[in-house]
Amino acid sequence: MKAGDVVSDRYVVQSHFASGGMQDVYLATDKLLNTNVALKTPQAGQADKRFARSAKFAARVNHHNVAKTLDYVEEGNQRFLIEEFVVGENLELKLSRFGALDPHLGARVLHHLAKGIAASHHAGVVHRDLKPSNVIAEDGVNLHELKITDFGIATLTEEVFDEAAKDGDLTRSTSGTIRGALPYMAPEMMFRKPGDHPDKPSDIWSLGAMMFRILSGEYPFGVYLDAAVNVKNKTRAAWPAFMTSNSQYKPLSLELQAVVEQCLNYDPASRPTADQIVKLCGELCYINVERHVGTIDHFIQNGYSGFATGDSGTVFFSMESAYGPRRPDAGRNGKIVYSKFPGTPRDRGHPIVVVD
Amino acid sequence: MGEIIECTDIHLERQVIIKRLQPGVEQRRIVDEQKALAALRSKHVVQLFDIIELTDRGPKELGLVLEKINGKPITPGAYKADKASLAVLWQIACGLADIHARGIVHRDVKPGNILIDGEGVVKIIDFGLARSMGMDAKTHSVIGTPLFMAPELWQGGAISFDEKIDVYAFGVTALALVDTTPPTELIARPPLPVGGATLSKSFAGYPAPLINLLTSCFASDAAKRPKMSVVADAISRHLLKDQHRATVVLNGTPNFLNSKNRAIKLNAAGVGSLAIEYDGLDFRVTAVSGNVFLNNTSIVTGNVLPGCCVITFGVDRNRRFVTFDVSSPEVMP
Repeated sequence: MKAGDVVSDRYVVQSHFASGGMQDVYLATDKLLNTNVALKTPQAGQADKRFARSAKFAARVNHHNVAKTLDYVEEGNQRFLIEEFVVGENLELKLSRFGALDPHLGARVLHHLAKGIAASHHAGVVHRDLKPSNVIAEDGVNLHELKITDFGIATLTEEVFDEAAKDGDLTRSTSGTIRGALPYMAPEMMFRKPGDHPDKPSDIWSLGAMMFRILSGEYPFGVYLDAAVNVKNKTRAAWPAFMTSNSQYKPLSLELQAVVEQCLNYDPASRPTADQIVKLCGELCYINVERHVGTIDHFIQNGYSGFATGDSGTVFFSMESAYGPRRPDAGRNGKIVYSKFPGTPRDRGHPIVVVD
Repeated sequence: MGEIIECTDIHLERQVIIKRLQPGVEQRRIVDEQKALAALRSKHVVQLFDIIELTDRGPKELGLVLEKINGKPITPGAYKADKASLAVLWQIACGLADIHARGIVHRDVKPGNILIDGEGVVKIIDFGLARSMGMDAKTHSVIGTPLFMAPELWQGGAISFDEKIDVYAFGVTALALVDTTPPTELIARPPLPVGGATLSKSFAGYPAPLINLLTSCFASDAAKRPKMSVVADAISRHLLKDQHRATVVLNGTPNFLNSKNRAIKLNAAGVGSLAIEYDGLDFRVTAVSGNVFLNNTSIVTGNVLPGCCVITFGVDRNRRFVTFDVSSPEVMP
């Protein structure tokens, strides 16, 4: 499809947005309601029946942390799924800028994702391919809106997974879909036998693996075949020291690590349910104040504190507020994200996280 | 308001609602408003899927295809004035604040138009569909549901109104949740000013500042009613009562202040001292001596600590620093 193509006399294609292993995604404008939408269409060779079924699955979920299924169109021999679109970037792209999220923003991400997963599990829909690139968020450094997309993809990928399982070892599959999912894939999914149908707990493992990556910046078990070997051998990456080296962040970091550890339990039945995670998150204390971006101007007090300026003015910060693998400086690590709190003569920035 | 038809979307195999719009000059306004609402994407507004032409009754009529909410309207009298009902009021206030920010007035806020879905999320339905005549915010006839109609809507002649009619209706809705017998002043046509004491009786159980705020929603003078966003913020603050946590790092060791451990005294020998107490909503300075600064601002007893701050004891070279960070759970529907 190309820009200007019109579907159903209503959706005008703006641009190609992404291609998954199963479908192509376009950004389109809904002429009727004047909104941006995602227009998804199966790639050649995909069975139309399965695409229709995946749309119906996705349409069952109705929650603000899940991208809404808006419409389904059959036109000629083409099939289209219309989904809510958030102008912004997915979590995978956010991570490439942030490296790792600080525990306060990380707790917020966990809370919202758990809410979305809980709602879909209530509706009897399992995602089976949760990964950062399937979470969409608006532009910028705030993650006000987080929406899980591609619910229903399991219906499309089912056959691929079944085929691979039949060959005896899913982890040897050359399918891009399987390779992309491996870093976050639950063991019972990875080493499933024909006839096995991993259920809701596999989403919880994926949530845990995803949160490990979001909080630490690292894949818990590596990528591709490494992921399979490491999951099998139970060799998970260690939590990085920066999460707990600063006393201010240590308590929340430890609380988050404990939740992630529970999600990464090898026994599916021992993992918490999405509802239980939502409850745990409801008790987590985190700083949920608007974030700003600034550039460090200079340091004072022998480098103990400094000033940074962004679109919202200049803030003072103390190096004790610094969090993350990169230490703020006036050079390459000069771009920082922070919340603002009243102070004299400058507001105080905190937490301080270096971003690209 | 138009007729409601329950339907199945045969492509996606899900239930939807089709709302038939009554023909007339209002149709254009309603359609424009519905589009604006769709663009707003508030979690408290029902999703509009499509606008279609119906011909089943002969002449062409417009129909709105809307998401069907699996939920029930909130029931008047089914609530106590407690945290659970505050959580519902908070969501309603958030939803109304979302739409007011876009300049849209609901016009018919009442319990019957507020649903709670299976996930506990409040959905406000029937936006802008209340019958009215004339253009824009000027009308010559009754709109809305009598008990929930602000005094200004009862004036004769051309009436102008704004989002403050929703604030009034929100107040009456809050009252209806906890008390099904409205005071006689509210039943009068037009409604008469209702005394704070009368409302306080029904709202007893809510924190005093919130009772005052809810009472102000009933003000006869629309300008004196609070903005919905102010109400939402105030309620969320009270929903977090006793759930905040301050992390105080002293010599590299974190100490917590919370509902279980409400007070802390910080001493910097020979330079100054500071006592802080948590009252369930704020962390407040209860005693201060010597040179003590919060984020470089000098302080006096009674000051509230500003979220996250560095406490500095002393001046110049003898300075000592303590970090003090306030966090809390996130209030979520």
